[in-house]
Amino acid sequence: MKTTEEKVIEIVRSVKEIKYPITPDMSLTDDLFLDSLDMLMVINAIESDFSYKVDMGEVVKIKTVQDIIEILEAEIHK
Amino acid sequence: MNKTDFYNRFELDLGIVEKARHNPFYHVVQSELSDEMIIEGEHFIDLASNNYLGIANHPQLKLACIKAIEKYGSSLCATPVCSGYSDLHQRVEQKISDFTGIEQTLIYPSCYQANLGLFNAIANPEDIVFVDRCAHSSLLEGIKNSGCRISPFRHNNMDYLEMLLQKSGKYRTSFVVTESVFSTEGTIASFKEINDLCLKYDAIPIVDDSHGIGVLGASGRGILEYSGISDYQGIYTASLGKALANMGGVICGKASLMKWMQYYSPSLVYSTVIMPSALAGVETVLDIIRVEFPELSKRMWNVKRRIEAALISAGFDMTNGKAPITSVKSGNSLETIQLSKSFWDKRIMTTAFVYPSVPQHEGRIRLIAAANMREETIQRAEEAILQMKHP
Repeated sequence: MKTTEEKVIEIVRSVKEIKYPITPDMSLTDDLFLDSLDMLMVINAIESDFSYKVDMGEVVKIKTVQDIIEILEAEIHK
Repeated sequence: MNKTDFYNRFELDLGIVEKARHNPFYHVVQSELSDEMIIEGEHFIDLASNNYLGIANHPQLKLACIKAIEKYGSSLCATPVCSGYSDLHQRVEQKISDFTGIEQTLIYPSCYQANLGLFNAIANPEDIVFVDRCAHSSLLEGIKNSGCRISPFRHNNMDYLEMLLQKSGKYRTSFVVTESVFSTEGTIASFKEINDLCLKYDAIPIVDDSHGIGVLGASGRGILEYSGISDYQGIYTASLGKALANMGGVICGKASLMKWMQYYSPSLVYSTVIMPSALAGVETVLDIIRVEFPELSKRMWNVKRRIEAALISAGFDMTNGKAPITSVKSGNSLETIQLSKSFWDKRIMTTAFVYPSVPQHEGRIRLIAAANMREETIQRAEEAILQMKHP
């Protein structure tokens, strides 16, 4: 069974067809070059795959892959 | 916060332009569009404008515009819902409907305005719009303004779109939005597949055919003809300012919806009507296309192929679009502007796309070769491009 980290990385990879390794510390904009539409695709996929509604307050704080993982893990462990 | 702070927020950063020693934007044009244009006193080969059929300066078109000005003046100075709706306007609406094969047409002052206003009129937070992530800014802004749920899909990826459609059940209405020809990539949408997916999942297709009308299809009728779609049940928008060589934009669709939008589309109802001369121009272009399209199309594709071949021989990295748009992958914003300068120095006018018009590091230099390019001009362009040999 895939970990949260693996699932999030898979989502980010699929949105942008990224071929190089993705690590949690990577910046979504500066390292992975996601723009606002790419981010929307990531958020939509997260909401669908994890059945979790990401609120706007959380979205604006997301800078790295790790930020997404932490939001989801906090929700899973509630 | 005070007024000084407010104005300081909007100071234009021209750092990249200064670094590249070139600004590719807002050059001052001083002529009509033949296969050359005069810019700031110099002759440039026009590979920038969207004058696909090369008829923006056609004598028949100029005459029609002049006659319309003589009859109606420069403007009707009113919105179409008030006193701005002329017999000419009504006739051209019908002619566009006949041309596209769609029930009814509304004509807007621009396609940007049409796209912006469309979603405000027909969608709200109860709806979801699936949109190609490379769709034009006007579509994206219009969708955002409506407040509906937005779900972008990977560019022209039908599997990704179908995966999203399968999860769309809980919304009132689902729309699938795309351009027919993507203006920066030159790719053509898999619109037959999109239309089929919409039929399968009960979604409404919306296509912006701005770079397809007058370009695609055996008789230039655009993406619907190109895709073999008859009895289209979706919504269609297009610019009248590209191959159709005038200005304005259209929304075409089911008659009942268009009649409703005549009263409830704010960007139509509250905006001064398109100039009569532009309407007469569109009417004339449709007449020209009816007679001359096969020859114009043959010339347009021939020039596209030659310019593209020269760029490939010179070593440029291309987007491989199938439309008469030839697009060079040019890297980040600085690299794009530097490449634009290289074409400029060869007296070739191109269109540069930098972030945020395109994703970061995915800049484009777009070249559109029109059907009116003379053989000597094509040869000059080919020679100039080959001299730019790209490592």
